Amino acid sequence: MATFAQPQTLVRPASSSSSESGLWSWLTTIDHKRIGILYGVSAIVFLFIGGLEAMLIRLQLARPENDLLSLDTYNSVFTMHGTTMIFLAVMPASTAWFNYLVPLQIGARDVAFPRLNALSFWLLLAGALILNLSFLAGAAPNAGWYGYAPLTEVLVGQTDTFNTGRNIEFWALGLQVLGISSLAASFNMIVTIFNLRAPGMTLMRMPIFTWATLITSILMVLAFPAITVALVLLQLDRFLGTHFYIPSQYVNGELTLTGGDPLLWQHLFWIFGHPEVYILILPAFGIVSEIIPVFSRKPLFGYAVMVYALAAIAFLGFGVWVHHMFTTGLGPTPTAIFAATTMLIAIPTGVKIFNWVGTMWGGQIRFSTPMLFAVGLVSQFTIGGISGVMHSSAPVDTQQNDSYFVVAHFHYVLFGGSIFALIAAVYFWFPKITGKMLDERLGKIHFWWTFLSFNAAFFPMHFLGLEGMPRRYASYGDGSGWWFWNVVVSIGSFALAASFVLLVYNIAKTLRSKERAPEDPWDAATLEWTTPSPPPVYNYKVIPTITNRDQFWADKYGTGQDHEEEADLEVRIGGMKIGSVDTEDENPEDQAATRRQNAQSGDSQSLGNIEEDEHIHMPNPSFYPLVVAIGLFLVAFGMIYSYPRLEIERLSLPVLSLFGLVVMLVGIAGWSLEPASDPEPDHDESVPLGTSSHA
Amino acid sequence: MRRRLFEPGRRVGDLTARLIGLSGQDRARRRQAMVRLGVLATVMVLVLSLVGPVLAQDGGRPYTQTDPKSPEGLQIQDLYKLIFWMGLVVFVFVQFLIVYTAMRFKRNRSHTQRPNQIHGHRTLEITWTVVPAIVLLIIAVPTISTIYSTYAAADDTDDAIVVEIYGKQWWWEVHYAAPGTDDVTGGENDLVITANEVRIPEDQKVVFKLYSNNVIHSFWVPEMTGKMDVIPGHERRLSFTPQESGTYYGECAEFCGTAHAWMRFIVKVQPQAEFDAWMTAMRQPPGPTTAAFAPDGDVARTPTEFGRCLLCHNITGTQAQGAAVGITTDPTSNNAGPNLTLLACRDTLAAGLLENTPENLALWLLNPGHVKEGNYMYAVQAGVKNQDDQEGALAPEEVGVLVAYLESLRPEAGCPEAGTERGNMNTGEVAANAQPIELPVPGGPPATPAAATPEAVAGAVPGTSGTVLLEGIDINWTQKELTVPVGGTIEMWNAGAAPHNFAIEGYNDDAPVDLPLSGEHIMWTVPADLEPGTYVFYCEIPGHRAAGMEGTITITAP
Repeated sequence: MATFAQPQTLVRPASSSSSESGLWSWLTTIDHKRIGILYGVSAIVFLFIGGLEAMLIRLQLARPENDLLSLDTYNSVFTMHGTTMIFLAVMPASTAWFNYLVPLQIGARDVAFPRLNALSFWLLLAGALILNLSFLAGAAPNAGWYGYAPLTEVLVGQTDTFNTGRNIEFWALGLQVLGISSLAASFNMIVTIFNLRAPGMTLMRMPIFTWATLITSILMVLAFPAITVALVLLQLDRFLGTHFYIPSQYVNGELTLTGGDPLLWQHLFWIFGHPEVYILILPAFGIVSEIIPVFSRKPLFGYAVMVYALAAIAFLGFGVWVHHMFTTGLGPTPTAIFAATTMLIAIPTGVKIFNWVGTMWGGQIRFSTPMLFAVGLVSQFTIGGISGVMHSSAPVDTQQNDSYFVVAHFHYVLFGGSIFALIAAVYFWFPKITGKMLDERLGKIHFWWTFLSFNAAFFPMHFLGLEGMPRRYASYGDGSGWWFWNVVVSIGSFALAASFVLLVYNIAKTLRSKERAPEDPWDAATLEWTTPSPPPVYNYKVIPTITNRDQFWADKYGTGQDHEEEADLEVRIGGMKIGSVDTEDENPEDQAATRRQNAQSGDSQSLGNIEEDEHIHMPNPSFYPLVVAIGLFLVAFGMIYSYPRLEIERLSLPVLSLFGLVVMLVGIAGWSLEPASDPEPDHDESVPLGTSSHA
Repeated sequence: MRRRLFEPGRRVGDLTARLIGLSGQDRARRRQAMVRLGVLATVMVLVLSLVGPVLAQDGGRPYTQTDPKSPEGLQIQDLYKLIFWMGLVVFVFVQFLIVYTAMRFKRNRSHTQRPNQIHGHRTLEITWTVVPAIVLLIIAVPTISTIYSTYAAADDTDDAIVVEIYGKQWWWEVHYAAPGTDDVTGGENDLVITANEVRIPEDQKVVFKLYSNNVIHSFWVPEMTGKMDVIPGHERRLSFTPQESGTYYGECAEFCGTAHAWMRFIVKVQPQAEFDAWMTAMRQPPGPTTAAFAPDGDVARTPTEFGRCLLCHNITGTQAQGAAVGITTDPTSNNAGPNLTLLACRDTLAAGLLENTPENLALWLLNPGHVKEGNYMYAVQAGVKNQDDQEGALAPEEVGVLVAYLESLRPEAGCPEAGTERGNMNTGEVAANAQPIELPVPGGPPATPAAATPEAVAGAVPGTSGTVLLEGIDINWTQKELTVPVGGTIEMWNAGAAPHNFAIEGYNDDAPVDLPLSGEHIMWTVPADLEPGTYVFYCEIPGHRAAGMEGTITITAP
């Protein structure tokens, strides 16, 4: 069996930072768990900001001819609602779980590049700040979250332009910074998962959430360059007067063809944008695939097929982008081909739905709150899936595209899918993170409240779409027949918003309580539950050796029954034996003993076992990631507010950007010159980590 | 009060518990039953609400896509129905499966042993891969054939009338191409140009050619067929064959900036004879109804107050002919306004925002930014969009004249109307608050824009000048080409806030004619020592000429 050694990272005795608290420790932290928490808290904050924007939208549409918001303000609000929810709420929430869980699930002590991990988070915050500071400047992005050119363009040297304000600068530069953050985080996760798995954890023994993380990260690495390029070209159009997305321009009063094409933007954006949809949903699938087996007391049905389905969805996701452009008139053949590929993607998605039900079937299901939300996803995502199949039929889509039918569809997949799963994850892993259980009674109320108000808020949008209401309408007339369902939607939305207050109340109440959660409250199957809650900074005192896919269950219940049943089934009904568990080369009892040792390491906050831990080396905290992020923030901000400028010969450069560049370079230099290690005197570099503590 | 609110629920709970055979005392089981009922009720509500849209409509469904009025729309509808019913079966099956599984395999006290640890089941997994694939194949075949037939129909202009649509911010320009021409420029070959209103003969296939020179729009008449985007740099096509006379409603479906929500239009389907009558009327100069409001009763001329409107608006058969149309014109064409021919016969103003009444017209002209945020009326030269707090550029007196004039733009025999109206697209608040007034009587005194601008009546004097008009605004001339004989008169005035003057290059560069800020009209007679020929005229105030305030003047022999 292959053995994976932990790489030598920056080393320092764990005692130096683990128990520190206070602002400075959070600003300089490079602990994946703390960074995960930072991601999570940011996601919740931006979820509320995005929610607030949603409430403004719903207030405006609650009655015809409403002038609560001006048209321009409304346009900014829906643009920021979409941008915030996608880039600042759901994606960071997923990344929070990647960060917190993946090293724990694969038996690692941290991610591969802990300082890069911190940089990813600070850049997320920088991008989010750029996007939201636009409100203070009175120039919030206003061209929709997919910012179709030429609405985002300014024609250089011409008074007659489409978007002359700084709105688009805030949007484009904010997204660029967020793109760097996502790319860094994705590379980090990919390297971590490929290199830092505990001995014995083959790819097909990885927890399914880790699989989802890996595939999502690969998606991000492949998808983000497309939008990066698209935004660079847009900025060239805006700053330098190129015409990538403008087909014609007036030169001396004459209409002149420039060779640009607005459709170029759409292709580039959706080559990113459609995989982005899967970037939002695949982590949710991973979460649900972890939760349903635990609460059904049965392993995930068709693990291998679930992995292949994740990969198939990700792969096909790159071949369907034109279904966002069925009404752009690309011609019959491309339209037909992309309609077909879009239908194809429904197959692996359907397989996942049925495999989840298959996991529940024959189980002993306990409907705790995480399970309620997970099953809620299976149910509600199906609705979004079915309307998705409707859109895949291009002629039908010409009626539904850009109408509220589509708005209903993507809220069923993004809320009924992603957010249901993310809430399920909060209830499921909260005891892991804090050592305290969220209130189950409140949780159940929360679920049913969310479930009902979610449907009240989004189901009627289907009817609005069928009645011809286009999305992004700031106002509508009395006689349009849209009033009734808009009122229902608005009421539903406010109820839905209130459900989040309930969640936050539950969290606050639980954090204040002194009651400790059991170490393994859900009878879970995966490795992270073998550590104390919250886990110590080094996660595992002894790096575990993996013999089973559901390792913790194997420890607790053995694998005997499991195998007998499977063999039995194979004879009777031809049950699939996939990724079969190889236990020949390990002594299960020894392994279980190791894990007991990990679990016994006591309260990590008090570091009672410091004597035993002194050989575990963790990376130094570092503030250089923050410095680099601040530098990049200033560079981007200087490009938005380009005054004052520095004039050198014919060059005219924004001073703030130059200053930011200096800050960034200082940060990078400090980062690379930072002492690689300050090892303890008896440190022996030749001894791989993880083995030293056996001494 | 509070207790009473809860009582009905409790009674219903008791009743249902009794109905399903539970005693009132058996609380635990009753609660369990209620939870199950709740789940069932939720599912039922979801299913019921699929047919709900019909229940919630109070008459008007002007934008519905559920009741198509063209074969093209019906084809899409049939496809939708096929997927809908298949989807409904899948929906009910999956939801039932989830609820059934959840209830049947719920954990209870007898579960002391862990259940069978089943890892998968090959046959089942293959089944639920293959069955959906077959379902999708059933959808894919008609989908692909419909895609091809839709595109083919839009490409085939034989036996079809061709209508060119130009998406503007935020209204629609509609051109009827002359038969036999395939004019993508929207130029002079077009027979008829109108705005925000498409008229089509009944049972006649129409092919729309869609153009934009600004941002992307999307042309959508939900009752007819699906939408098609209007994309700068591309020609896009859409076709349908309306089968019932009537008024249908269209809208822009691709976000196109500030007033995207108010970029509506009307499709009037009418019997061939009515359509022909309209086409004829659109090509005539204004009728006798207009004479009373035109200078010297000459309907070919527009009132003085219309001077600044000339830059953007055309009216067939009048001197208002210079405004840009289509896409191959000057940079301001993005902001050029609708053709106003037969304006009085249109249903709405400001692209579907207001009902077309004199009161609404007056309010629209007085303060366009208040009525429709962001629109470009008056703001063309300044390069800014209209905002709510911006004053309109027209004085109430001028608005009074303009309303009377524009309301007179109708055939003497009345408008060539379409069939019955079936619903009201929108009625703006302005319209709701306005008082009903009498329309101008043909040949009678100017109409009173009544409640809106009572003071306007006094100042309402139809244009009186028999000379060439030239208006200076900030910063342009509304007329860029003048033709005057030696000895003829140019009536010029300053309608802007900045000082302007009038100079002819090489003639009076040193002594331009001053146009007072008061707006006083200057009558300038072309002197005899100005040789016939073509000159450039401009505003001599520094910077104004560079900003575009110049034009050509042709002096002809007396």
